[in-house]
Amino acid sequence: MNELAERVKEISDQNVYSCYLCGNCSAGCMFTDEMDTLPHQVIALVQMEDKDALEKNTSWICASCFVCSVRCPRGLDVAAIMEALREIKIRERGFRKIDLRKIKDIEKLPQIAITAAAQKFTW
Amino acid sequence: MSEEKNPMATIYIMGKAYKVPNTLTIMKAIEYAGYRFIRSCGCRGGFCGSCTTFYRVKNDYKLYVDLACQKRVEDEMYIVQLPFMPAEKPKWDIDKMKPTTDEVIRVFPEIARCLSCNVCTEACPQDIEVMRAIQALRRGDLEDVVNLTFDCISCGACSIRCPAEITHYQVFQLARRLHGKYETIPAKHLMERVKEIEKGNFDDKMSKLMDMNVEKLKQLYKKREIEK
Amino acid sequence: MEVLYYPGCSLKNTYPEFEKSTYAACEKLGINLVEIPEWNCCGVVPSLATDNVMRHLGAVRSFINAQEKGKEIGTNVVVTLCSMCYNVLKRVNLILKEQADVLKNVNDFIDDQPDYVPELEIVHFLNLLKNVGFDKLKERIVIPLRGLKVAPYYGCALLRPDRPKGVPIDDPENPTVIENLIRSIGAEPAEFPFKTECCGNYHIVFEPGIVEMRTKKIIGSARSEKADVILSPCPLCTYNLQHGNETLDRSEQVPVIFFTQLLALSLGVKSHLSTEMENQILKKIGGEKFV
Repeated sequence: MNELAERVKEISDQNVYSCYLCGNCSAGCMFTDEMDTLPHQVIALVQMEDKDALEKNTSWICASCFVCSVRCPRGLDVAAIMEALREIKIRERGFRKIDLRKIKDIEKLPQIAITAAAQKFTW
Repeated sequence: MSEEKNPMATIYIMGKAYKVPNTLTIMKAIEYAGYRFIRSCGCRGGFCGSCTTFYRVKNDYKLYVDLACQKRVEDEMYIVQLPFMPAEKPKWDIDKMKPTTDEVIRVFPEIARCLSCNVCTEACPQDIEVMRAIQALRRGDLEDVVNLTFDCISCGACSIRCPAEITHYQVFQLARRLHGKYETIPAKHLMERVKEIEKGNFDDKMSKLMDMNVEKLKQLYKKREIEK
Repeated sequence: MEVLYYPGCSLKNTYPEFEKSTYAACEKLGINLVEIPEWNCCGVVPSLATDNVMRHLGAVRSFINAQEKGKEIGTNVVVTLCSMCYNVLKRVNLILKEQADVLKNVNDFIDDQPDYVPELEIVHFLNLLKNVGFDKLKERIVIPLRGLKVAPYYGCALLRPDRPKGVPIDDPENPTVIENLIRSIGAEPAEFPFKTECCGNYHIVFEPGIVEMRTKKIIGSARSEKADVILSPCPLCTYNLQHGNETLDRSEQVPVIFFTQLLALSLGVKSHLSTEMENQILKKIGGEKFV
């Protein structure tokens, strides 16, 4: 197992080598229009230890709706793999995805949305 | 005084060992050791929050926080003082706000990151249940926040330990002010006094004080009425 | 029936009317909701990282308070109204039941409260209604919403993921519990292919465009099924769908209602819907005598 795949397994307990790239996750994903790379392609990148997997916007667009995780024929929790890719970035010292003090129109947003975003985009 | 009656304690001030009488407060012990305070020292009475001190003791992993003017030294105590807690104070206009949790979160969205770890409470030298207050805020109970945080002296110990980077004392101040302005009945005598001030009833007395020389001011201060 | 109740931030701050309508409905149904004292924020989205136990703490502290209160009133059932809270609490509770090392880890960390013994049962209010029985519920209905076509929207958090096993309240691909609720209050459920799709979740904060794209499709689907309203069990979905409505022409909009408000209306108690909305529904069911 390569180092990146190892790290993903450490965080998500998911073995990316289980994936045979059928593309079911990408077919069911509702957010692919916004993604520069499809979910199963990102998994392929991790299998090949291509660090580009961390730079694609795929994991950040993923909203953890778990359709992929429910439909994966190999039983992989794809959403958890995406979370692992986010976590690897978020845990880097100095990395900052968002600034909560700069949320546009924050006065209109409910607490539930701000909290969810804070949990997903900050460590 | 014999050594037995008044045994000495070894304390480490920023790593350097000193032998000091174990009856002293941390603050007095630091002075005993020869330091002169130019900061981290204020009222010496446990109110101002300037002398927040972090320490560990031997054979204990816990990081303790207390006010140097209130806490007695212990043997094998490792001490450092918190000179200042860096915090940016966001601007808010209380006249344009409502007394709700949502309003507080808009000013301090980092509250949304609270993990309920309770490290803030462990850090508070005033024994405030800091995490409980933040969570009371999340529950939308502003009054609970106010009652829980009344004793906050804004020392910042909670904020330096918070994994969510919340500056609790600023949050609580905003909560108290919102509650005070919108949810409490204004005190009648206070409103009357404000009116008197605005009318200029005390202008003469004030300008007399302003024109007074230092000596006279000192005398006046010594003769002031003190509540007994 | 007395059960413990975990409200969550939305019902206490953003949408108090959801909670009020629930209390009104529960009184009618003989369900006594006992709010967990000093509950903590659940965190809204559960951590999917196995090594991030810290994120469970809010839920666990609430469990401890629920456990102590539960001993007093003699129940171990915790009900949530918010599907996001449900997902987090259910998931964390299952993890603690299954993984003794994680349980020990959090109990050791929380040294200022009693240990949590994972014996609570987390249920969503929809499941509570199901347990009461939709037939029984039907008997209590005062204003059957005949002629009202309701699109049952589930969203994600009630249905997915099935990991740890037991999180979904229904079949993740073809749930029916909201349809059953809709039938029992006399309304007609719409065949709604987008009922389990995601509304865009927290993207409303930094990428509202994603939410607008998602909700446009969901609302459009409900509209093409001629639904009068969309019924939602989730405060965040409700917010996002309402935001979606605002970006659409009036003719393309479908009003979004939280499920307990429609339930309260049909039970003949205060629904806390806007007067306009309530009248619109009553007009639709030909119940102008109720207006």
